[in-house]
Amino acid sequence: MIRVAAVRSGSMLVGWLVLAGIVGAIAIVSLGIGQVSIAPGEVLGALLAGPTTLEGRIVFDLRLPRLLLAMLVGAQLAISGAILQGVTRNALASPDLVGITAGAGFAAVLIVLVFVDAPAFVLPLAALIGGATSGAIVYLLAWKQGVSPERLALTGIAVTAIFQAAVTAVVTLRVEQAQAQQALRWLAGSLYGRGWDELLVLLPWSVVGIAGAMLLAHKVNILLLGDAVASGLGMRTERARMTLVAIAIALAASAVSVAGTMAFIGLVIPHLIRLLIGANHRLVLPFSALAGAVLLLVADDVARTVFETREIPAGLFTALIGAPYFIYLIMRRKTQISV
Amino acid sequence: MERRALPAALALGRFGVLMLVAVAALVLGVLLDTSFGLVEMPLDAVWRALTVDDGSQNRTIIWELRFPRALVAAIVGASLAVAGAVMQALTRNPLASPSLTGVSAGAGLAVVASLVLDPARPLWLTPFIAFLGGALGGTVVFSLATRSVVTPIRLALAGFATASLLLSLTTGLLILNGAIVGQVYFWLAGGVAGRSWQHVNVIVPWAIVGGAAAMLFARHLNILLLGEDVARGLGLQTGRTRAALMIVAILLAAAAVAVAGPIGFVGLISPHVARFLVGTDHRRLLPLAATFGAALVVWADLVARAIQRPLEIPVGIVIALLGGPFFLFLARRNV
Repeated sequence: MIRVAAVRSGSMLVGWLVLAGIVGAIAIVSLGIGQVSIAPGEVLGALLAGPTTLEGRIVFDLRLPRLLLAMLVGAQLAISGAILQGVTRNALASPDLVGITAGAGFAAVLIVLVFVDAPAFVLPLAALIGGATSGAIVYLLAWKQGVSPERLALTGIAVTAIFQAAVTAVVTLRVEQAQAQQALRWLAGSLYGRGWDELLVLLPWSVVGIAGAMLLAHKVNILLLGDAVASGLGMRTERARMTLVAIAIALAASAVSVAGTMAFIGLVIPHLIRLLIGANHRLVLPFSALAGAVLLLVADDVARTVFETREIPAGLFTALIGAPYFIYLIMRRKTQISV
Repeated sequence: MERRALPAALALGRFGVLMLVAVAALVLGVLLDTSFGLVEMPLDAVWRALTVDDGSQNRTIIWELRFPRALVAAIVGASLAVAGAVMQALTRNPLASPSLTGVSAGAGLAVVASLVLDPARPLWLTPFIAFLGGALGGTVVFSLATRSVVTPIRLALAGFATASLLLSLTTGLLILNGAIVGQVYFWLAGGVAGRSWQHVNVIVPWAIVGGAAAMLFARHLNILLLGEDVARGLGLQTGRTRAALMIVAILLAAAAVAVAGPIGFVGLISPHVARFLVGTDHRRLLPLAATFGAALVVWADLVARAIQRPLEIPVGIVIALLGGPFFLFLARRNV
C-alpha cells in the first residue's frame, strides 16, 4: 500500500516535471516570437543577462512581463472557474457566466474613465467589489428553491447584458471616437501594452489567491459530496463555500482589471481537465491553472503575431474555442456535476 | 351562438382599445422625439413644420433631421418586435428573439465585414448583406431548436454563446481596421443617431414585405403553436411553413440591424407584452407587438438624447438597461 503511494507520488513528480518543462519551452519560444524574432538560445541569454542588449530589452522590458501576465490571468480565470463549478456542482458556472466578469469590468471602466486620478492599486480592489456585487446579485436572483445550472447561467447572462450596457453608456459619454479602439480592445480581452506596472499590481492577488485555492482544494472535494455528507464529515459547509467563492471572485476580478474580459477560459478549462483526470480537485485546480496559463499564453502569441502590424485581442481566440464548446456542453443532457 | 359571439366582440373591442392606446403612444412619442433637441419647439410648431413646407429653418430641422430619425426608430422597433414574435412562436420558446438566436449578431458581423471590404458600398445593399449574415448566425440555434433535449433555456444559452462568438469576430475585424472603429463602435451598440430619409427608404420596403408576410401567415403561427403533430394533422405543411416564416423573421431583423445596428431586447419584450394583453392569437398579437415595439424604441430614443445633453447615448443602451431586468424576470418565471 505504502509502496503504491510512493510509486504514485514518484510518477506524479516526474509528470509535473515534464509538464513544467513543456510550459517552460512554450514560454521561451513565445518570448522569441514577435516583430523582432529572437532564437530560443538568445532568449535564454537575454533572460540571464538582463536588459543590456537590444534583444535583452525587448525580451525583458516588453515580452516577459506580458508573458507572465498572460499566464497569471489564464491561470486565475481557470482556477476561478474550477472552484465555482465545484462548489455549485454546476458545469455551467464560470466567472463570466455568473456575472462576476461583467461587474468587475464595469467597476474597472468606472475607475479608468471616471475616477481618472485613482492610484493603480485601486483598480483590482474596485473590480473585486464590482465582481462580488454582481455575483451576489446573480446568485440571489437565480435562487428559487435552489439554483439550477441553467437558471444561474441565464440570470448571469441577463445581469451581464445590463452591466455591458452600462459600460457602453460610460464609454460613449466619456471616450472620444479616436480612443474607442482602445476601449473596444480592453472589452474584448487583451494584454496589449501591458507591462511590469500591471504585473506588480496583479501579483499580490495572484499569489494569495492561487495559494489559498490550492490549500483549500480538498474542501471542494468534500463539498462535491453534498452538504449533508460534508457536515457529517465535520465541515462547516457554508463557511467553506463562502471562503472558496470569495477566492474565486478575487482571482477573476483582479484578472479582469488588468486584461479585460477574456471569455470562456474559466468555463472550458476546468471542464476539460475534469474530463481528463476526474473530479479530484486537489488535481483539478493545479492542472486547470497550468492549462489556463498555457491557453492564454498561446492565444496571446497568436493575437500579437498573426497580423504583421496590428494586434487583435487574445479574448477573440478564447471565444473562438470557448463558445462552440459551451454550446456542446449545454446540448448534453446533464449539467449537474456528479462525483 | 350569441353566447360565443359576445365574448368575441368584447375581445375585439379590447384589442381595438389596446391598439388605439399603443398607436397614440407611438404618435405622441414620434412628435415629442421630433420636438426635442438643441432647438426646442412646441408641439404645434412641430405639427406645422411637418405638414406645411414653408421653407423655414424649423421645417429643415424637423423634416430633414428629426422626423426621419424618429421614423427609423419606429420602423426598426416594429420590425424587431414582429421578428421576435415569429421566432418565439416558431420555436415555441419564450426566450427566442433576434439577439438571443445569433441573428442580430450575425447580421452585425456581415455589415461590419462589408464596411471593411468596401466602405463605399451603396446603402440599399446593406439589408441584403445583413440578411445573409443573420441567416448564417441563426443556423446553429434554429437547427438545434427541434431537438427534444433542448429546453427553451438551453436554446437561449446556445444563442447567447453564438452571439458572443460572432460579436468577438466583429470586434476583431474592427480592431484590425482602426479607421472605421469610432463610428462603428456606436453603431454596434444600436442607435438611430443621424439617420435620414435615405435610411427610411432602405428599410421601408423590407418592413412592409416582412410585416405583410407575417400577417398573412398569422394563422399558421397559431396552428404551429399547437405542436408539430397537431399542425400536420390539420393539413399544414409544417417544414415548408416553418422555413418560410423563419426567412420572414430573419429578413425583418436583418433589415433593422442594417439601418440601426443590433438593438437588443425589443424583439424579446414586445411580443411578451402583447401576448400578456391579447393572448396568443397572432392576428392580434403581431400588430400590437409591432406598435408596442415601435413606441418602445421611439421613447427610448427620447431618453437616450435627454440623459446628458448635448451628448447622446445609443438607444440600444437605454433599451438594454430596461430590457435586462425584464429578461431576468422571464428567466425566473420560465425555469
